[in-house]
Amino acid sequence: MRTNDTTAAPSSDSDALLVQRTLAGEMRAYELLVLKYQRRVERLIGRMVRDVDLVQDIAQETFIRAYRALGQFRGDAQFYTWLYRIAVNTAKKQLMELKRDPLVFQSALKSAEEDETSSSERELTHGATDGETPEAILASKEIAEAVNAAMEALPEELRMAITLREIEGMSYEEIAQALDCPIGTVRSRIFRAREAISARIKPMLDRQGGKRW
Amino acid sequence: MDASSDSQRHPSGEDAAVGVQLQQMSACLDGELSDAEFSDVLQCLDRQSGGSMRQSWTAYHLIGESLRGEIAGHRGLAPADFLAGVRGRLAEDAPVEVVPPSLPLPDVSQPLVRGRAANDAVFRWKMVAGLASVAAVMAVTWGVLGTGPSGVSGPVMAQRGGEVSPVVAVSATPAQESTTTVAVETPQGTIIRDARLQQLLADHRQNGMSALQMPAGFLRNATHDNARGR
Repeated sequence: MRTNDTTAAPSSDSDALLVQRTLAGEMRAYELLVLKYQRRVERLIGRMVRDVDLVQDIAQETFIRAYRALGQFRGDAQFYTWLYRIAVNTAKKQLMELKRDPLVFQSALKSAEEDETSSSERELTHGATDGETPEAILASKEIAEAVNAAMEALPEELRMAITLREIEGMSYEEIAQALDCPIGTVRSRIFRAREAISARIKPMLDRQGGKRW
Repeated sequence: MDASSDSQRHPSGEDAAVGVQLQQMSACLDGELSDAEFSDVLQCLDRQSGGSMRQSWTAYHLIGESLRGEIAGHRGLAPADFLAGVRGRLAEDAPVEVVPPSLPLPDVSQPLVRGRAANDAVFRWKMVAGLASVAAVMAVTWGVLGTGPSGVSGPVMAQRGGEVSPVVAVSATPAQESTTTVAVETPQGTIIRDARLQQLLADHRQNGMSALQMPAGFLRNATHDNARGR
């Protein structure tokens, strides 16, 4: 299965809808945004801070600050681009305020400055990180293998639909034209593919409940 | 897992409804959901099945990230635990006033509420100055149109048309409330003048040419037609 550095399929429309609903008072919409970007924000902060507890604290604080400032989010930029800046600022501010471990502080701050200028674009588009623990690497590897296995077990039409959507970033309309089927069929196939793959990885997520990867 | 048997996994009506909403959530992830359908999804999150729906939402995103090679080395809490932490911290905060979108990327360290502006005091002084100006104008106007020096009252007189007619007759004007006004008969009609003005005009006529003989815009005549003059 392809696992190249293809840019993530744009989800700006769903983000815009979730932001709009949050501003209308729907807290559940904001929770969906939190769940969507939790991992990316944690990975980003993890490159700046070594303390795992502090990573979680800063990550949660990032979403708190984003919620407070959501009314000032302009839809002309992608939501994650905006969230990224908040995460970086929050991490820097926390590090400056705490200064718990001078060694950790200095190395983390230095790491943040270097990484931000040299690989910020890589982080924004691919979410790649470095410096992960062996446990984290193993966990992500297990999930990747489970996803690949599930994809191979899918019927051809479902595998094609989810590949065109997730990897090629095509819209439902474009996929319908490519596969010569109605848009409703595309929607159904993508959903069924996701459900089939989820059935394999959800037990892994349940096992990890409350634990750090 | 056989994907084609997906329809057998939700035999009951409630499960079928959850299945529909999961499909809607899948479409929402792709930005392919209508506003009305999205409302249904949000409502379903509050029900008993909301937890499993959130788990599906997380799993769907994880699938995409895995296919795109984005999940290397993830470190962090389980999604449910992370979300619980965010909820708790938001609940501790005071209610937030949502600001309408209008500004560039925010500096989240700055408060949303506008503080006192630097020119607030200047604005107040401007208001005071404006009111003072209005009061001054009113005072001057009152002084010109109202009571004059020595308690003399009466209409302001002005010369009309530039014609200074010789006084034909001078008589006390019974119609006027002041004894210092005179009624002057002129070809233009009966003119009521302040006695002092009348004396002034007379003096200047005796002395020859005078600017007062010329049209003077500040001198006005008030005329009235009495029964005798008609």
